[in-house]
Amino acid sequence: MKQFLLLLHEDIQKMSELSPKEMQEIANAHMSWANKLAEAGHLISGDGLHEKGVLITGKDSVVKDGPYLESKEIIGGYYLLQADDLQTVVELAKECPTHLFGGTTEIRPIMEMEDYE
Amino acid sequence: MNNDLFPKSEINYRALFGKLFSGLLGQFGANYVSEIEDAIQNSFLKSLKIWNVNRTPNNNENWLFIVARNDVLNQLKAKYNQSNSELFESSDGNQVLENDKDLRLQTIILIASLAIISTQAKTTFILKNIFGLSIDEIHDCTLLNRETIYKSINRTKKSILQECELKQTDIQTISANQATISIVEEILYAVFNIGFDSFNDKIEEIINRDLCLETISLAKLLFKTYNSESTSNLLAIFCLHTARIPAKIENGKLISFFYQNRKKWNQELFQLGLQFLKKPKSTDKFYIEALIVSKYMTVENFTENDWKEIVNLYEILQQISSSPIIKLNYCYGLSKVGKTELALKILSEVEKELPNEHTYFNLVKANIIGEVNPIESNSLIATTIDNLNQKIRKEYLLENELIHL
Repeated sequence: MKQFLLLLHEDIQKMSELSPKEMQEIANAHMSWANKLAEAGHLISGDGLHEKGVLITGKDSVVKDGPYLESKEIIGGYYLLQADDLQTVVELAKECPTHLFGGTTEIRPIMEMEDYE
Repeated sequence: MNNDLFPKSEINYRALFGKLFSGLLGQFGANYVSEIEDAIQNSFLKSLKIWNVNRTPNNNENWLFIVARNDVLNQLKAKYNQSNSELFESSDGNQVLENDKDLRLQTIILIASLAIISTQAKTTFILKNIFGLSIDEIHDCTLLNRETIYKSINRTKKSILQECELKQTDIQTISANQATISIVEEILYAVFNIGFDSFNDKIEEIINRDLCLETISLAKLLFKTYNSESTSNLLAIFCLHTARIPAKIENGKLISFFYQNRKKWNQELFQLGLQFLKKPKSTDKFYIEALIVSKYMTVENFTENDWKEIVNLYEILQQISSSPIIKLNYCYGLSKVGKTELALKILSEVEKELPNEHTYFNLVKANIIGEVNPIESNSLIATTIDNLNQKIRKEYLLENELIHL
């Protein structure tokens, strides 16, 4: 099995304007989607991320507080998934509830030794 | 009780909004409405991120309350440079949680008692903050434009600030006089009707049933607290209407009242509705309306005499209420007792009181003129179909109301 990192890019503005009913839809959709992934053996882990964080740059390790992106989109969470191939993960990610309210998902395959051997 | 009326659901953010809003208002006072609204929104967003399949708090509601409460405190710290928020932190923050007291009715009473705000503005504010509807959803179900809704909510907020500062109102102990009870009843009646006739094209259901059930539970609490006859009659209306919900849709199609399978009506609610019906000392709007609904529901085959009784009841109702909808219903009754000409004359007057292309007006008029002028009747139905967003309602009109010429 190969591993994939699924990054959830969320539109902060849209998220903060969701109605309680829409939030409930998205909460329930995430729960049932993650449940489905777990039952099928694809889910390794997954969490939400704080909006603010710390950025460290350069050889002097300059530490800066976030937010450090000017984009209205931030990475709001991630899922670590496993599957036989990228295509399977693409099909799973298409159903990710992040898309329901203007979000984008990004799949990054985890690099493995055997890919290059 | 029919289980279909109470579907099991996951955590209901919309319904929870009002409970959190009232609880926080009870804790922080009425001066921080905007901060509380933001805090609840933030707590919901946090729960979206943090809760997952393997990790949810033991008590979701308490978790959201604590997170929202801390959010308000953080906002106050930032705003008042620590001084004021310490005051709140020193009070027993968990008291409201431990008591688990539902302050929604208390909050509605507070809003209803505001002096200078219209009942419509109060209802709009309550739809948002007690029943958890967004501005868009309020627009969909009331047909008020978004700008009007936004402005009226802000006006109500300002009014709460001004009046509560003057009176030092404590939500936990506020009580209602008869005038305030009447306004609370009007507000609950409006919310129930919005839930009972949902025109939202985004939801397929024609009824927002949990909105109806929440209104019933608040009306019950109002009745239990103040024991007013008018509240009892209001409950009669709510129960009798709600009892018919299981029969309103069959195989995905809307079934109009006279064609419903009466065996599908919820008998417990039907009986409860009849029990709540109480003859008041003086004429009461809700009593007459409940009488009309009970008449419709207890008579299976309507004779002209039954229609005459209905017409009489609408005449009494018009003496105490000037609602154009009551006049429309009266006209329909008149057409059933052979007074179509009088009905059409009244309709032409009612038309001026309603917005153009009013759905219910068009339907009643189309029905009344159906026999004498089928072409105009069909044209009114066609206009209504064009104006409706909901598929199920369009289909109903296409299949049932157009006259084959």
